[in-house]
Amino acid sequence: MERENLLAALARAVAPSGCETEAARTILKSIAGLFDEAWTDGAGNLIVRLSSGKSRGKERLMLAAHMDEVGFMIKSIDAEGKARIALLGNLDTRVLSGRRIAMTSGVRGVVCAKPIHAQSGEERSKPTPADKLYIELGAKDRAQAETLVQIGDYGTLEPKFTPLAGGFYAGKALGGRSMCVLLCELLEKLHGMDKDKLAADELFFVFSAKREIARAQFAIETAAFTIRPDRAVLFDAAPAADFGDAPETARGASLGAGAVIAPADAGTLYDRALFAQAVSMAKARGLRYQHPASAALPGGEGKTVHKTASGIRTLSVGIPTRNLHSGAEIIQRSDYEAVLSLACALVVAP
Amino acid sequence: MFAQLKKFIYAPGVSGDEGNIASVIAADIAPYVDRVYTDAMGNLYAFKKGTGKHPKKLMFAAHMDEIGFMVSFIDEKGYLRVSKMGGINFNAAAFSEVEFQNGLRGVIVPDARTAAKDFRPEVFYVDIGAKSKKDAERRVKIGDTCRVAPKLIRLAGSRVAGRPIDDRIGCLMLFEAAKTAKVYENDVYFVFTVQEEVGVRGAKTSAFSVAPDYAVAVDIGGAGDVPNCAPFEVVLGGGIAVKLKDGMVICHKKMIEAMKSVADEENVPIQYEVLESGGTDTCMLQQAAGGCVAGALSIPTRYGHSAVEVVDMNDVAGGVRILAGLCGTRFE
Amino acid sequence: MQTKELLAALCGKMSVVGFESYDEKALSALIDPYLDEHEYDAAGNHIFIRRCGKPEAKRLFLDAHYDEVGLMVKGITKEGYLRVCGQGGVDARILPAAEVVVYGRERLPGIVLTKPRELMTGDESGRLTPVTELLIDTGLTKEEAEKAAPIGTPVGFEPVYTELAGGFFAGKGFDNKCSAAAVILAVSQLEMSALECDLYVSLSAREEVGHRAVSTAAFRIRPDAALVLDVTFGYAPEGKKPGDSEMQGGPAVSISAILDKALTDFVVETAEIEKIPVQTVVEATGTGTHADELVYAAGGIPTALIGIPIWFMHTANEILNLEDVEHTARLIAAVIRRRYGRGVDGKE
Repeated sequence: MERENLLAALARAVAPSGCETEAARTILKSIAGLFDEAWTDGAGNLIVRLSSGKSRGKERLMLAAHMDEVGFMIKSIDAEGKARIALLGNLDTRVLSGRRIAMTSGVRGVVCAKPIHAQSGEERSKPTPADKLYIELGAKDRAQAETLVQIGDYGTLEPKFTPLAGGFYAGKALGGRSMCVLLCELLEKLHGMDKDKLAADELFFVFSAKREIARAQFAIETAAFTIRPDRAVLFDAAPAADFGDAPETARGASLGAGAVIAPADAGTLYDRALFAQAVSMAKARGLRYQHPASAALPGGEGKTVHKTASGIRTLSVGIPTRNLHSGAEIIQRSDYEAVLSLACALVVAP
Repeated sequence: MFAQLKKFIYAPGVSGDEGNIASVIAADIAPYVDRVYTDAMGNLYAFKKGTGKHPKKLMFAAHMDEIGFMVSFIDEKGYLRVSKMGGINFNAAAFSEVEFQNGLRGVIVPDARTAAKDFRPEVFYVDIGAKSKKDAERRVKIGDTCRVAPKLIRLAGSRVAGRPIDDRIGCLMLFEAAKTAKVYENDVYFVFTVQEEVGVRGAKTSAFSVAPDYAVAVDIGGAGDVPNCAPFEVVLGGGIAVKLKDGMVICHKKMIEAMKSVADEENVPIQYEVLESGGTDTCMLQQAAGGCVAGALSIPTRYGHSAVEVVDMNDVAGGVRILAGLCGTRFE
Repeated sequence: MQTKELLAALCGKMSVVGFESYDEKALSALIDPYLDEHEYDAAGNHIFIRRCGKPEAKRLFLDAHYDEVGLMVKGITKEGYLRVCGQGGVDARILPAAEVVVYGRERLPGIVLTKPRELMTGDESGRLTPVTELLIDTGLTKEEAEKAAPIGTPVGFEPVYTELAGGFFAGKGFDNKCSAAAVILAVSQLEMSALECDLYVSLSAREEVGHRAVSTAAFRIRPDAALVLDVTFGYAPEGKKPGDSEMQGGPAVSISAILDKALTDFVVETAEIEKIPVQTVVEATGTGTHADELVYAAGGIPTALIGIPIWFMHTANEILNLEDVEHTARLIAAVIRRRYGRGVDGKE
């Protein structure tokens, strides 16, 4: 599938943490015939293996992007037919009020809050907490609502994909999903290529699950444990707040400034050699790259990947993303290109 | 031991960047063991094959990383913003000399007009004397690490002060144990772990690799004998402390007893440590792979995570004898 | 004409306060086929007229304000982001990360920027960014934005309409273009030759910023009576207030001391006779709608107020029930027939 179409299809897939089926299906469809083997592991990660066909030792390289997204689950339905929700992941409650939502079943609704005429002055200046929000489905009572949604059903903000001017894209879950597109595109590029050129004997493409709800452990750990790669490169969104008057150190990544290559983030000190290699590759190829101040670095999954089993050399590469976890994430094409070129360089032997 | 400790202290090894200290330890310990190797995360292993009939896998772990800073941002004027690596006490670190791996020196200072109560990582920067961003970029790059300058001085009696005694003192104990152990009943892995200060990370993977039957972590502990401190039974000079529990682990009774019996045999004084919160590599040793019988020795230490950490070398010497004794212990 | 399609077409028009003429051509194309004359007056009101063809006919003024809340560009940052101010009382809680349409030289999609929680410090996450501090990202550079969306450019919510269950319909601009839709549905189906009255449908301007325009239209037209249509607050779980109307309860007729009692009673009676579901809401001393202006305009106009209940007013996803719109249209038509019809009981 052409890149922009796949990006749009994945932005529109309703696949929050714990219910990634639609994203996985879309990904698998787009990479049919491009790999040796694919399976879904016990934690829900979609793993795709590509072999060089040679046994020059047993070097394994894992490339990963998470396919889940922030969303919510129906927690209760009240007598008036309103559905209350529990959030999945770091979905920003400030963006929920008044937004359209979609359930995985296709049922639509609107997130409602206290109407403006009933709000106090203080309420008007504060985001509405999740427990004061409800989903309006159009049901007149509980019985009718239960024909539309069940407790435990999964949903997300409205599926959306909008190209903006200047090579920007806006849409739901674009930061994370664009990195899934990148792995698919990488598989396509490798398909026509002489497998001797691969930088490892076996490549594993992991489309990980449940990243957004992770606390201490990430689901990707099971994939890393099974694969036991020698090296892992994680692709993820890097939060950007490159606007307003925040000091430069608090603005995170900047759109247009290229791939985010991180020496460290809050949970991981990335492998110094891999980090240095990525930086020198980017330099040698004239790729744009950036190291935003540490609070803004991507790759939460590195936290468990690098400590899996006997330890895994891990690197994280990010795409700068505005409005992260808002249902209207913004990325720039040129940054995607930079990350893709870097990924190619890491995967193909020099 | 003072000279050896000084050598370990002066080799840099901020969390995630332990290559330098690892190579120093590797070179020094190699003559006393059968094999020295490292793994993907940088943990250093020194292996000594046991001669007993039924050798057990015994693992000693001391972390060789130290707290410090990583360059995260270089501003237009050439000042460096840094991420903290580990539990930095900024009141202690303020206005200190720092050194980089390549020998470059700088000073770490808070933003002007910042009161001590507002000290947070974001308000600190490192001044390396650069005239501009370009000038700074010629000398350092994002991801480089630096640390408060190392130091070791003798105080009265058998006591010393300096940094990073946490946990080069533990590394020293493993080294001295390897050097002095006479009987190796067990297969012993002297493991110098990485990234303890940022979340006991290296211990997790190294314990998975070794999959030991018995494991002992060696790290600094506290001392309850300074003015106005919270009540705490461990005192400096009272002997090495055998950990009973901390915030992250409850030590195995079997290991505690094994240590006690070695101490009795060797006539080494010990004290018991019960720590309410915090933790060391021990918790990871206990939980890794299929789990193991784990315990820990804590070196009573005053003023941890400052530039003037104080220990008593007599406690350290006692600890070394317990470790050496465990090498020769036949575990049932 | 299907109610749903008319609602989406009409409410989907850009009519941010002060920019009621932006889509004038499209508005004409949509409505002119159903009404006879259309004038756009100096105050910004769109007046559509149907005449009965009799000399000295009575004049009924049917008001539904056509403006909607939105935003306006007030500046452009060095990065090219648009700074905005509110036009009317936008509910600020719905703006972070909202997708908007910038109605500049061309229609541009824009996204309201919001700081990710990962980068927030202090109490930022507990605070809602006031409208005046919001930035909109269109992807344009400063230079491009200055050309494409100069200061003064209106910004509206994207016209996306979503069908919910049970005839509920969500989208922007129902306040108050759903009333306009009801009026048009009603007026377009009337047989004018059977009436002794000319109908002046005023899709009035600038209601959301203080009822600024409607009285000028009334002054020119000098109607004999006025029916004002506006939305009312539907009873919602998180913000129940006495006086709210019931969704699916039919048109909500306002009982207020400021309104004309006879006309109000006539409207309620008509609903009862015609078996149209109707509800009454009490707004004792004032209604906060154009009705308050019209009763005192042009020497005084007997005025009644009919409301359509909606949920979540002043957001990009107001919600109504299609039945309520249709019942309102039926009621308007019935009132006109009964009051101005030539037949025995007011029917053609």
